[in-house]
Amino acid sequence: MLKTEANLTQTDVLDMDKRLLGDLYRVLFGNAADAIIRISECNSVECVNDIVDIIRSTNIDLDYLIGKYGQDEVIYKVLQVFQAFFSFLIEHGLLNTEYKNLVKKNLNSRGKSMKNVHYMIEMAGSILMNAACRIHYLGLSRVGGYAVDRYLLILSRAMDALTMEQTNKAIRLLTAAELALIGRDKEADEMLKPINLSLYIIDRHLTLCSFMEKLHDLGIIFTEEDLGKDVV
Amino acid sequence: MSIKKYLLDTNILIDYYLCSNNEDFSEGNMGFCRSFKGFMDYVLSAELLMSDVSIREFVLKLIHKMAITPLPPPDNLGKSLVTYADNLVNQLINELNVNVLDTDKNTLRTIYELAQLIRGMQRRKLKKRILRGLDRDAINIVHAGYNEATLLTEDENLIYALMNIPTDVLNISCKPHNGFDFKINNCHMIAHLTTSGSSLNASVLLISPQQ
Repeated sequence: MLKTEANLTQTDVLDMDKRLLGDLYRVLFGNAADAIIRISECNSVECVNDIVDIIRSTNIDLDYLIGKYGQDEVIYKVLQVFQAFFSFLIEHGLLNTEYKNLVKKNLNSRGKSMKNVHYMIEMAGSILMNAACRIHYLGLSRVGGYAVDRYLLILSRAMDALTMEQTNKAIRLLTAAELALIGRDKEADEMLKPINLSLYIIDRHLTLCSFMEKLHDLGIIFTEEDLGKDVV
Repeated sequence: MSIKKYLLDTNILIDYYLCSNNEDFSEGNMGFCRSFKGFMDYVLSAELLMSDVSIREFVLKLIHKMAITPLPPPDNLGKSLVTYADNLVNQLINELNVNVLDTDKNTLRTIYELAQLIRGMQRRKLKKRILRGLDRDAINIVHAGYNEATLLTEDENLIYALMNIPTDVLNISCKPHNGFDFKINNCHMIAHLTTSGSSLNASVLLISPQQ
């Protein structure tokens, strides 16, 4: 819901709400599509530049939207787009119960607090990782030629890096994620090497975490007490 | 880190589970998991080893959990729960390409020698606590030594034991390892074995577990 200004009717507000959402989808997905097209042809240095370019143009677009609709509204709508994506993951069984509850709880909390927004961004890394692991576990790693599991796992690490304010690492990870998604493995590896990562390591993470998802689905629940030596 | 081989303890696997199937979304815990994942990048880039004992222990942990699972038994359980859990873990070991180490008579002889050194200690209470802290971890330490691998563990009792063995009993030095947002102790042990005349060189990375 928007802050109602005195001179706006309820319908005006809803209209603006919808227009903003529409604009935002165009900005975010338009730029994402652009990224996929450009990344399919670049070589390694260009790839980073392309992604930085796209991030920059996304920022300019977002700034424009902020000027038009106000910062808070845009941020809340970005959050809604995030949540829409997470809801999609839930609907398709790509998040386990714990993460499902977490996202649902966040969806239900009506308060438009910035704290909520920050929390969601903090959480994004682990939510995306869980989705990557479940996708691998469910055998949906390759969808239409796209390496979705690798993509989501690398993307999750990019979100982690952003949370830890490692911007350059985050950009490398974002670029590598896009490259891995479209199967440009050699280039993705080149991108990951300076940050001590590789697709081999990413795949091993997927092997390990998808096994943990299997255990979870078998009803095997470990807690911190299980870290002790004694077999319970 | 230049170490190329890691010997995993079961608690590392369990912490990995905890970080990927989280119920604790507190800031502190999420921070630990972010760092832990970064740490696992190094581990997963290396050659992985596990002792046969740790693998059995992990299987047993799964069996105990499955016995009280809130779900009906899986359709594909097959002949027995034990075989099912065995297959589950074997599959992981294969897919992750983990080298399994057999605990044989030689391993046990070395452990016996190490334990004898500790049994020679004067302080009875400390001696007891150290032996209890070591118990089956001694197997992993010996495997790590003989395979030039680093044992990776979160076992608090072992941390206590290693840090409290007097240097005149066993040559052990521990120092904190920097570069991660959680506590890691890097311990190195050199033991001269009298019967075989050889020496055991083992290194252990002790991770302070999640709070």
